[in-house]
Amino acid sequence: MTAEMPEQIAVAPGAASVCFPWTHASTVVAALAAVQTTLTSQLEARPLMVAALADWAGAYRDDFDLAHGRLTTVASGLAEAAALRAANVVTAAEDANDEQLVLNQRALLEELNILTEPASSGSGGSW
Amino acid sequence: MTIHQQPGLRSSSADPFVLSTYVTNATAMTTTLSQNVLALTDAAEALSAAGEAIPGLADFVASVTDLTGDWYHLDEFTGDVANGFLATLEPGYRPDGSPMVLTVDDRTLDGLGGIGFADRDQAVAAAEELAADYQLVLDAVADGDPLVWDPPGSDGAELSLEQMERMAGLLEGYGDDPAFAVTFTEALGVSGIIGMRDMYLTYAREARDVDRPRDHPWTEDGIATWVDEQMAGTAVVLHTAMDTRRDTASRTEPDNADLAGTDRLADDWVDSFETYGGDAQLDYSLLVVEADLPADVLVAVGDNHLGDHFGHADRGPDDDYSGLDSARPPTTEADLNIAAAIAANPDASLGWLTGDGIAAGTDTVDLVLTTPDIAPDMYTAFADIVDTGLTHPTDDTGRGELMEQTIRIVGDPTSGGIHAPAGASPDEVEDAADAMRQAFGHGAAANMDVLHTMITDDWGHAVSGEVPSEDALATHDFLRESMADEAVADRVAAGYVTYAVEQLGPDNLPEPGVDSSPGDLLDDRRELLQQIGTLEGTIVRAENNALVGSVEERIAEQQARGRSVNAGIDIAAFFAGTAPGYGGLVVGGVDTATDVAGVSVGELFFPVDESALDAAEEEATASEGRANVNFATLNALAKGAEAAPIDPTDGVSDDERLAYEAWLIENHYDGPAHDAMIAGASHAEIFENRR
Repeated sequence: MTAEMPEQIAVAPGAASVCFPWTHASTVVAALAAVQTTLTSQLEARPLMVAALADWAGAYRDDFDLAHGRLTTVASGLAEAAALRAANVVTAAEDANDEQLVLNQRALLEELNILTEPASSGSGGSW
Repeated sequence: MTIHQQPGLRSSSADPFVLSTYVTNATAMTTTLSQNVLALTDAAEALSAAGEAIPGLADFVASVTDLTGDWYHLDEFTGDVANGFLATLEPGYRPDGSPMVLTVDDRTLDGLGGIGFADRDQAVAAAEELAADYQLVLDAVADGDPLVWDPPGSDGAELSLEQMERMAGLLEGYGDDPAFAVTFTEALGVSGIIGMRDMYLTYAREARDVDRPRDHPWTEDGIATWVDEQMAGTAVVLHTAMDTRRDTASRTEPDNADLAGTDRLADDWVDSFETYGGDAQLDYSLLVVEADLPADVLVAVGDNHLGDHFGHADRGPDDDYSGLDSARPPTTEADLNIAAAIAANPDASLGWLTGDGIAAGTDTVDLVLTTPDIAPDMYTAFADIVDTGLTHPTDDTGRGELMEQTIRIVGDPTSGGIHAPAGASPDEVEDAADAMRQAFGHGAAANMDVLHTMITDDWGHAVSGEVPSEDALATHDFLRESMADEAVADRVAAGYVTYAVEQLGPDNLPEPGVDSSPGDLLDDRRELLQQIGTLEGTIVRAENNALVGSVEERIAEQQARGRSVNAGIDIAAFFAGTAPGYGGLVVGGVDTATDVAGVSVGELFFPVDESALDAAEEEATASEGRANVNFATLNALAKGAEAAPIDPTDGVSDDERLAYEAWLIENHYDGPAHDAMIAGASHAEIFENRR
């Protein structure tokens, strides 16, 4: 199953925004999922279709079987690879979220520091 | 060099309908995958453009794109096998659903189906290998190195005849595979592909010189035939490669319409081919003929190589004008080949004539029909293109527009007519002009609807007797120019009859009383009947004007010769040529005649041939009468009548006339319709004596 994109973490007030193309990334993940689904379904359907060609025999059939076998192997590998590539995109998105969290926290801390920092006083003695 | 297997003595068996069903379903699956991959490609490119690089994504996209192409190639291969089987069936055969397994030998299957490689990667590898082998031979030709295996002097790089022929055989055998064809063509390049013919020719001549194989009959004719045979593979490969282009409109292999961009012949390769300006123009032109190229490529080739005949630059070698009277270049065999290739392709003929690729803003048909002094053989070749364009087999609106344009050009009173070539013998001029007349006649017969419209539109002559439109005048003059030839006149007449019968048929002729333009004097039925009559009347009068005009011209020409004679040309020698046996007797007579003031020698020796003119004018009058009689026959035929029992225009006896009238009555003779057509024909009297 193809990985799912995480929810984008909102940018906290005062925090810098992480530059990550969320829309494009979502589109790529969806497209990879579609490719994987199609490859998987066709890997199931094609053998059944080929089975109906029982009456086809000869040198051209031999060539067909060799090519079909090779392409089936490639398609199988790519169906798995599609999931891996989608996971890569999701990982990149998660990394972007993590980075945003850090920036959000930093912004919050900065704001808190401003609130708790004592006001500066003039010269004076101690008591 | 790898020895590839070719279909030999093996056979294949299959149920072709089951195989076809598989191909349909498999192709649909591949199309779905292709759409998914396209969406992924776009999305990945957008993500990359946004600055986000995902490890392995670009390679994945490339791999799945490649897989899609491989599936498509396998589906196409399977479809070609299915087509090979299906081609062995009787035309129109319909399956009844029961299993049907055919067995066909693989050589036949390959020939019928154009079967290539099942595996696209193998096709590409085979093409790259064969291209590399050919490149070695082409390089040897360029370097002047020996080509023929001739031990003990050969160093192993040369080829035996068997090897040479095997390479050509592989090319021809694999050339139907689009992946093979594109790879091979691009690997060799334009100059390499064009250089193949010279390579074979060089090989054959060297083989003859070194007597290899021993005692092989290398005659000049034999060499030419051998070269043509070897070139068959090159033509197949180029044709297949061109068939993969996105811009190719009419494909040999319909599946090529859905190829991925990377699997198509590159546009810049095609551009280089279309604009080839190298020295091997003849070899290039032969390949243009042999490869059955797409129409738009042929048009571009024509634009780039035939312009010099109209005074424009082209890609051919600089022409040698020395010793010529004409400002036009001599015709080369290459030019004739290119013109013939265009003329063999209706789409190309139509496209070339209606395009302005030679002179921007001026359609090529205008150049063809108005440029003076085109060499006669080139003019004849252009006439073939005009013929093919005007008779394009489909009801293409472009054909009708070309017909209109041709009529307006030829019928132009200031510069129209047939611009027969000059600077050639009278026979050559007449042959060339006649070729163009034939083209015009064929065009008129095929586009009678255009003539109908051009003559009758904007000519509101029904009652008020308005003058014909400019288009009507031009159409008459066009017909007059064309119908100076009897065969053309017959062709136009036959075309009119076919058209008229169709127009007068119950499916087309409006019912009485139907009036789409209320307020004018005629209902739709009578208007159409009159128009058909005017159409025939115009054709008849144009033919008559051509007939009488040609007699007058002949007389004037003879008289002009007489006047030329009077101007001092060697009278006896000249006259002996025109009136064998009379030369000596004439000389004294001419000298005497010139002493008599006011005597025209021309008229003296070539008097107006009253009898010839009388006969021509009598024929003209009779033909108009026959046309009126024909209207009744046409109406009967339009109602589905069998042929008339007699020709009513051919001096009939009383009994024959009665039989004809009985036939008319039996086929619902329509007197008012007949009268309307005669009335329409009479409007064409305005063309009387328009010569």
